[in-house]
Amino acid sequence: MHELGIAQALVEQVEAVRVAHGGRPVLAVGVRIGSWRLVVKESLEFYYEAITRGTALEGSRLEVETVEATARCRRCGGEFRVEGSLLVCPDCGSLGADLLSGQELDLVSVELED
Amino acid sequence: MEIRVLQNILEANDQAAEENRRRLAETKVAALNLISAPGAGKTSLLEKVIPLLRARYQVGVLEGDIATTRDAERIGALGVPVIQLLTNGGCHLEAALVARGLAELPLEGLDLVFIENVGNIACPAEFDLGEAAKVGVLSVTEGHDKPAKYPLLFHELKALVLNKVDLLEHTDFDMDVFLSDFRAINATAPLIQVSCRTGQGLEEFAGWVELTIQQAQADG
Repeated sequence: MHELGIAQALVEQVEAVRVAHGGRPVLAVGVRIGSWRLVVKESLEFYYEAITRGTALEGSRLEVETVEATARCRRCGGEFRVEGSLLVCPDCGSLGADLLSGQELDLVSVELED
Repeated sequence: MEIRVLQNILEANDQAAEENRRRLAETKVAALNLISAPGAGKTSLLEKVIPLLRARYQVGVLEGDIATTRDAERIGALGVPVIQLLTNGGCHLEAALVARGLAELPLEGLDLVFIENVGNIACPAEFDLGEAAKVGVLSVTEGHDKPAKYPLLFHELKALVLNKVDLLEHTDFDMDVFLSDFRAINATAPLIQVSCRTGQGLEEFAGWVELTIQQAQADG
C-alpha cells in the first residue's frame, strides 16, 4: 500500500531531473530498494505506470534493483545476510542485530533520450 | 544519456520532517508518533493517558484520519487542543501535513504533542514526521505474529504498547513467540503491557512518556 506514496515521490524527483536536463523524454528510471522496506516491486511498477500515464514520463521503464538485508550481530560482531524478517545471528544465535543494508530507498539513475 | 543521481526517494518528506523537528526543538516540545492497525486502541490509549499527564504537562494532539473527525471529537472532549489532519484517502501521515497541524497548535505553551497516525502498520513506518519517537500499539487480538510480518515498523519503534492484555486468556496470542520475534527485530524498545479497560499498565506508559518529555526539555 505504501508503494503509491513512494511512486508519487519518485515521479516528482524524476520530473525534476528531466526538466533540469532540457526536458528530454525519459526512457528509464533506476531505483534501488532494500528488501527490509517490504516494497512490492510489482505494486510499485503498477502505480508508476498508472500515475505517469498522460504525463511526460509515460512509457518510461522502471528498473528496480533489490538490495539484500545484511546485519551485524551486537554480541559476536559477525555479519550475516538476514533471512526473513528476524534479526537472529546465525553464528551465536543471539537476538537483535544492527542492520547494515536493506533499508535503501533511492533513485539512482534517469536515462534520457540522447 | 544516463544521469546518475543517488537521491533518497522520500527526501522531500524527510526535509519537511527535519523542519518539524527543528520547530519542536525550538519550543521544547516532545512529539510522539502513535502507530497501530485500525482498532488496536490508539485513541483509547490517549483518552486514558492524557488525564494522567495533564496535572504536570500541557498536551496537544494531532489526529490523523482518512475521512472522519470522530477521533478528534473524542480527544476534544478531554479539553486539550486537538487538530484534525484529514488525509482524504491517504493511508499514512506525511511530514508536510503534520507541519500544517503543528502551525495550528499553541506550541509555545505545550510540552507534548501526540500525533495519532492513520490506522495502518505498513505505510506509516516509512514516513518520518519529525517526531522524537515512534510508539507502536499492538492489541493481543491481532495475533502474536505481527512483528515478524511487519518488521520495518517494529524495528523503528522506541516503545511498544501491548494493549487489551485483559483479553489474553480468551485469545491464542502466544506471548513467548511474540517476545522472541519482537526482540529479534528490536532489542531495546520497552514493551509496556496495557489494558485501557482495566487501567493496567497506564501509569507505566505515562512514566515512559514523561521521560520523553524531560528528554525534549533537556535537549531543546
